[in-house]
Amino acid sequence: MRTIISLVMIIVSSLLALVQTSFFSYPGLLGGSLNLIFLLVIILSFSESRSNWGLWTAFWGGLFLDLFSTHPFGLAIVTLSSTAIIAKKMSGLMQKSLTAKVLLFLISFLCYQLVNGGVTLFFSFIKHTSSFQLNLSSMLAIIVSLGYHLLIFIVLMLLPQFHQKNNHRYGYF
Amino acid sequence: MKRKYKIIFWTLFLLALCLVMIFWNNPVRNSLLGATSSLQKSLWQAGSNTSEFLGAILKSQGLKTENEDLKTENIALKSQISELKIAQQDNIELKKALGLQTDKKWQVEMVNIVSKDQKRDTLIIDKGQKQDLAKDMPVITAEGALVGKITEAFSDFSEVTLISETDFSFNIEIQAENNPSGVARGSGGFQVGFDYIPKDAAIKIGDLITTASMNEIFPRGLLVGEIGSLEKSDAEPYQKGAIAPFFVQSQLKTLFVVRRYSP
Repeated sequence: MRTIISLVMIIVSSLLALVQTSFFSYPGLLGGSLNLIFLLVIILSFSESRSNWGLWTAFWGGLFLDLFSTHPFGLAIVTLSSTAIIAKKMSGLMQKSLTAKVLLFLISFLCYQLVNGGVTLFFSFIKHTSSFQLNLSSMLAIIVSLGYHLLIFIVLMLLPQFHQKNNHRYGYF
Repeated sequence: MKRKYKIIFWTLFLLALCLVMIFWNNPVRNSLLGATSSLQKSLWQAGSNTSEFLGAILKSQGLKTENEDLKTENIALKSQISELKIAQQDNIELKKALGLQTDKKWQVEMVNIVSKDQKRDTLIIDKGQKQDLAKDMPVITAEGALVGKITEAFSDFSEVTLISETDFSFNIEIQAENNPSGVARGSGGFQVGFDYIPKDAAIKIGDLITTASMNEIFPRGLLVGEIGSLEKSDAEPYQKGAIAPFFVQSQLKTLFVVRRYSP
């Protein structure tokens, strides 16, 4: 069963990487962009399961993102994997209410951006380029992206609760 | 014991992956892009159409004013075209009299976008070394606006760095009195700035910007954009500002790689 889930996760992360680098890479509103693999990694890391599916998806999703993109190889693997580890550690420490999850999500997003910035800076230093730049428009793009991710995250977190309530109302339990 | 084997397996796997990506990066990427490019191209087109649709909804309020501005601009441009046609005719006759070549000879290759990096201003296009594309070839839109240059050519695909990428800079010329020259520099997120325009140069917002003759990569006269904003300070020896690049306004679906050009 574990092997099947592992394979499914690899296929799903490869498809998400494909969609992310083509459909969602078109310039969005105010420069914001959607990272589907990041969302999946965070949701899996926040799950109550003891298995580390978040890290597994982060690794494979990062690998495919690195292969489909033009940034230095390893950037997405390192960034997503470290975010998955941090998110998993944090989710074990806090309670599972929606507010706590939203707070954890915000911290994870911040960690993701910090690690991403750090790794990009490291690659820029190695390659003697200046591809890392933090200006007003890039800050605005990060804030808009946070808005997109947070909205989807809250909807995804609320969906099971809504479904559960409906089941209770119609007496499915 | 099982855990120990697991750690050894993953360490070896990561080591092998690093070695493969160091020595066979291009063939691996080329094969993977080859297998997925048709799906990626369709997804890119779908993304482009969705973005256009959403953009049209958001811009719908300002459409009336924009339409009126465009009508005025259209009349001004028609008048400029008629002046230019006369100048072109004179130019051809003069060149004929002097025995010079009269037309630009450009050889272009039509390409499609496969994907774009989310964090950087770079694209992957669906043609590469097999179609005689090589590093540093300029890339333009169907309207002739400069998009960027090829920075890496794989066998079937190429990587294009847009003029808005952070470390990208090139020489420009402003279509104003005395055609002042300066340097354009990308600042990421489809934004391009310019600098080193002499303080006394009479330039204004909306002036056309083209590539300059000092460029080693780009032919002279390629459309870059227009001046979007201008900063002039008494303390600074030069004027600087932002460029509104034309490639952003056009639909990024089909592009052209300039293989050869003779000025």
